[in-house]
Amino acid sequence: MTEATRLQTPDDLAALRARVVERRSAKKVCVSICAGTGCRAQGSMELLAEFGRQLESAGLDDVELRATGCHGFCERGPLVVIHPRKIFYHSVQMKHVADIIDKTIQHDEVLPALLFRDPKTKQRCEVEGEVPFYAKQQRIVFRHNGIIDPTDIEDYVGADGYVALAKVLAGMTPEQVCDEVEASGLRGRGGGGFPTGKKWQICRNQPGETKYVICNGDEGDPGAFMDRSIMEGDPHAVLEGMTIGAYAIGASKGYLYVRGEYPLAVANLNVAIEQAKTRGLLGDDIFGSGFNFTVEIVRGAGAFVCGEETGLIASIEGDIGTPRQRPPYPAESGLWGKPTNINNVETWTNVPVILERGASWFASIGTEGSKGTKVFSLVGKVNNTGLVEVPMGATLREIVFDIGGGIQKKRKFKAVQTGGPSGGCIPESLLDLPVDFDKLREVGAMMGSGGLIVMDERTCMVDVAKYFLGFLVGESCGRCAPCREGVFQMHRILSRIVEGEGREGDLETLEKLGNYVKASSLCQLGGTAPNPVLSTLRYFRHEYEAHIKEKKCRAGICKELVQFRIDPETCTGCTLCRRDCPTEAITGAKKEPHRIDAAQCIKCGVCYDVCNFGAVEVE
Amino acid sequence: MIKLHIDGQEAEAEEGQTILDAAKGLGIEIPTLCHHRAIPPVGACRVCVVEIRDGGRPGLVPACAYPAQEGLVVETASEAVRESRSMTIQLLLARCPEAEVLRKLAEQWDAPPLTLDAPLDHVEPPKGVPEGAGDRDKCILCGLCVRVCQDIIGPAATAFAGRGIERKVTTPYKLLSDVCIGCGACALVCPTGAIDPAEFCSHSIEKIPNEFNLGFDTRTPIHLPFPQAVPNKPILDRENCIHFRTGGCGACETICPAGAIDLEMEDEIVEEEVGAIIVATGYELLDPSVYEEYGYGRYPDVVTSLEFERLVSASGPTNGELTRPSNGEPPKSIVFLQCIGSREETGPGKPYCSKICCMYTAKHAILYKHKVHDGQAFVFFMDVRAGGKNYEEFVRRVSKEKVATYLRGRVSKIFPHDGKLVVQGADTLSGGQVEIAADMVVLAAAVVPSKGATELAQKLRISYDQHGFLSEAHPKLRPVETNTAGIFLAGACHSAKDIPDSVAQASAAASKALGLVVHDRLTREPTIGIVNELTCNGCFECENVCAYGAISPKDIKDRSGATVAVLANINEGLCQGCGACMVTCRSKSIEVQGYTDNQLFSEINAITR
Repeated sequence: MTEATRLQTPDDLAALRARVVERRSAKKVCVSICAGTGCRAQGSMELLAEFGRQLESAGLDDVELRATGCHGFCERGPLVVIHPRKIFYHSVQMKHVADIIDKTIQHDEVLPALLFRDPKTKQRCEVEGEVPFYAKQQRIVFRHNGIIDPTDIEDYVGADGYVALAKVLAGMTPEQVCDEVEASGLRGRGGGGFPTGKKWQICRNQPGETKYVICNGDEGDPGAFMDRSIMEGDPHAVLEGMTIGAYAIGASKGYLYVRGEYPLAVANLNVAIEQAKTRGLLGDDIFGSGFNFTVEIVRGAGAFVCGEETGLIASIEGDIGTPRQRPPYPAESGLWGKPTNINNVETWTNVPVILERGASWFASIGTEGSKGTKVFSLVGKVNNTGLVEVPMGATLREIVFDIGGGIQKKRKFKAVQTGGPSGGCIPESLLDLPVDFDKLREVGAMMGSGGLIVMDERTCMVDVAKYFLGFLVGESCGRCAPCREGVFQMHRILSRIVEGEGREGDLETLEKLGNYVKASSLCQLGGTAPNPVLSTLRYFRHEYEAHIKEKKCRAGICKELVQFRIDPETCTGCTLCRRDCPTEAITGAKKEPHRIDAAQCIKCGVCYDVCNFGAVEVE
Repeated sequence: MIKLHIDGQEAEAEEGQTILDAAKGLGIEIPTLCHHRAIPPVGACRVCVVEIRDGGRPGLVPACAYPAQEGLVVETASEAVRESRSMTIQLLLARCPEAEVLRKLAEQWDAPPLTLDAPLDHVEPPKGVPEGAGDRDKCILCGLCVRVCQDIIGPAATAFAGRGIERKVTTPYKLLSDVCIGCGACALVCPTGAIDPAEFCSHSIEKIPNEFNLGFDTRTPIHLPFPQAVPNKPILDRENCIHFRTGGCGACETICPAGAIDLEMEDEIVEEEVGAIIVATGYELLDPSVYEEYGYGRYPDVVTSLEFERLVSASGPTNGELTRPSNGEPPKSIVFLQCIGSREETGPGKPYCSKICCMYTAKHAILYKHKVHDGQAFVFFMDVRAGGKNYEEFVRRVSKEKVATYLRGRVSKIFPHDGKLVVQGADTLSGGQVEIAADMVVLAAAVVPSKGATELAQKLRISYDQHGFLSEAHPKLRPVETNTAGIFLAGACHSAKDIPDSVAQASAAASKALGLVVHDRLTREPTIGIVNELTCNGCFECENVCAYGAISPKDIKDRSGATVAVLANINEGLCQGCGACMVTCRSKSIEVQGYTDNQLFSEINAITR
């Protein structure tokens, strides 16, 4: 490691980059282990230590060991990549370490058992790009994730980090920066989709000396973790984006609002801030331009509503995180009453690459109204869960089936829910919908921060709506009456319906309440809260009606409305269901049709899920 | 000036004003719940939503919190607005079915009850507070109480706890608050009357009794002293004002549209030189609690006649509805006792007749019958003394038309029994004892001079009698003047008097005073004291003995203006020529003009020559 000296000019940065690149020559062997949260949970840190021990005892001092950020393919962690050939091993365990060192590192042999096997072609994929999960992705936001060590600024510089900042400070006026970002067509990735360049311009044009930039890292959607992975895996990109934005707006202080539940993100960001300060990339007179900028981390306490910009500002100010009425918008009067620009993590991460490669390059990606790429956290009943980054305009079918590898257990696809808890459910008929801000809004869903929850035929849409509404009942701040009372009442009605107590007119009341809450709430939490109900009512009304009129839940979820039955014709008597039944409600001899005792059945659905022959039926 | 359109009319607003302000300017009513002029708006209840049609992002916005912006086109009662407003009211009603303000709004905005499931928990009481205290079922979580306590008053004794539907108004940590200063601002701003500071304050809440209503209700620190006060303007009571106690609040300054409130203002002493003073300090009633047998002060339904006067007044504490102070029910039977402390030669009472009680008791009986048609009234009297034009006829009518039953005699005892007051007395006409179970007893207590009247009299150097009534100069010939020149009496400060007599005396006093001041020069008797400045040594013994305050020090100056001596000086307008100073003066420096030693000796010489 070179002495951490202050980078006075863009030339200093170029010199440092040259040194780093030379030292990490492409031919050198490097074991790169994913240290993202998903892989950590599966033991990647122990793996890293084990590699270190064994490499040392083998005397392989020149092999570099690197802990990177998340690769996105969390389903198959821990992931290990062996450079220079970039051999991509998944699901690596402690017992494989010795083999990898012995065979791959010392003898350049690939271990086929650890390579990904394409379920369609049955081919083994040697490098990441060959894996179908990655093949259709385009990684701009995730450009460094899984490649660099997030705790080493030199890695980031070596990967062309801070080039954009140097370029901006050396030769662009703040107006030019705003114009460039506006020309790129970048829209806010936090959910609103407001044009970022325009937002900066508005904030820039406000009178007053003191302005702030804020990075919204309060990623509250259940199942969403893209911002987390960026903050953990590429913190410098976030800082660089914020610094450029601050320069464009005229701010000299920035706040990074990170969920308290993201300790690794906070740790890595803190390391990055310290390193950037030491290198003179944060602080006074950055690159000798006279521009000063510092960043402070604020940890959120876990309220979903603090992701709303005015709620977030209240939280930073030390108040209860409740949104306030806009206008004035934060761009006019935000943190401590000063003009403030808030963008989310993914938006900030896009900024350096836009300024480095130009607005027209960025604008060439995506659809007419939505440029660039979008990171989605693909979860639910899909084979390959994880983080995927696709160009705007990719279809849901591509995301769910090509990248996600289709539905688990070869079940039937039913819907995909986008945009977090207050997004909407999109049915199969719209699978070929190109995903961008406007198209999603047209079909009653929203981009949100990019959650994608895939649901199969075993998902009851009424239950899903109730689940999300339940989440929102708990997360509504309670300040305004429509959200506090309206969402609660909607949830009560849904609870009744799934309990088989649905009444004539409930659906109309739900629609009436839903439209009211949407139109009358104070902030966008309430403004979007009815979406799960309204969108499922739009596309799955028949399921609601079946619950209310026929008192049936076809998906077999709503216990009060379900009766499980084993079809004696199809049942092979494999005993699988009998063994898994928690209440011993299933009886039957081996190789003979089984039957369910309705009196003992608690309707958990385990039999239905485990049966390999489709013999268990829902009535 | 910002110009915008509201309901098709052009509206104007100043920078910083909201749509609500602009609409108010046009006289357009928009209902509000969580809004208060003194508190920065938050737009929480959404009852005030209006629709932006053009000139801004279209949609529903809260009028109270949305700034008036140039070119906005706003509808305050469009279909979307009505639907939203109606739904908000219904949802809040589902939470608080008992809140009258919501019921009224529901009627006004056509919000039929929606089939909602609303088993909502309400505000949780702080620890140590008895279950069921206050009206928690009425809290609509508008947050006005929290905001007024935090942002305006300052101590932040109330706060929100919980999120969403679990949100509650409570104290920090749900403990009885010792930071609550008991100002009651939270209760004042609460739109539904749901909050009672006594619920969460660890010390007792001071309520300010309304002096004019004799403590039957309370008032705020800023109040009108009494209805139709002159000038008819509110006054600020510094002793109870939060601003003067803590330095906080100041909300009145913010909300007064005329900008008439200046909290920096200080009391000042104003000195005026006047030619005449009219004393009209009035009267009060003898405190009847000295008569233990009547139970005044112990039984809330025993009141004085002045208190009865407030209880039946349309501007009184009950808005003219006569109710028993003990339980708020209308009194079905009432007993008036006359001569409480009047015409009493021994004991704590007064020997004189209070003169007005016979008449006003008759009036009270009539008022009582107006308010309680089926009620029964009794009057215990000693003699009916209703001398005056039409007076006797009036009392006779009350008695004849059975408005009240007149019983000649005294009451010996009043005691409570079974929710009623039992009045035991003698009826000397029938010669028996009577016992009346009454709901209310009114004591016609003796008229006594106002407190402080005698101190004032000493200051003005006018005389008063053994009861404290101020004395006139002559009972027949100068009934308006006092012995001190330029000071006149009007009304009950002089003696018990009814309104016509008081007005007559006041008119006379006014014309006497005017007679003094309309002329450039005063005409007086020439026989007044005069000081011989050559022999006066400035001992001011004379000042002490002068009953009229006519003697004061006077500086004697030389040519350069320096004071060389301070000598006695007699105010020619005030001196009555009594000669008290003359006999007191040790240096024989004061003489009465026309009666100087020289003149007297000359007279003697002439006679004896």
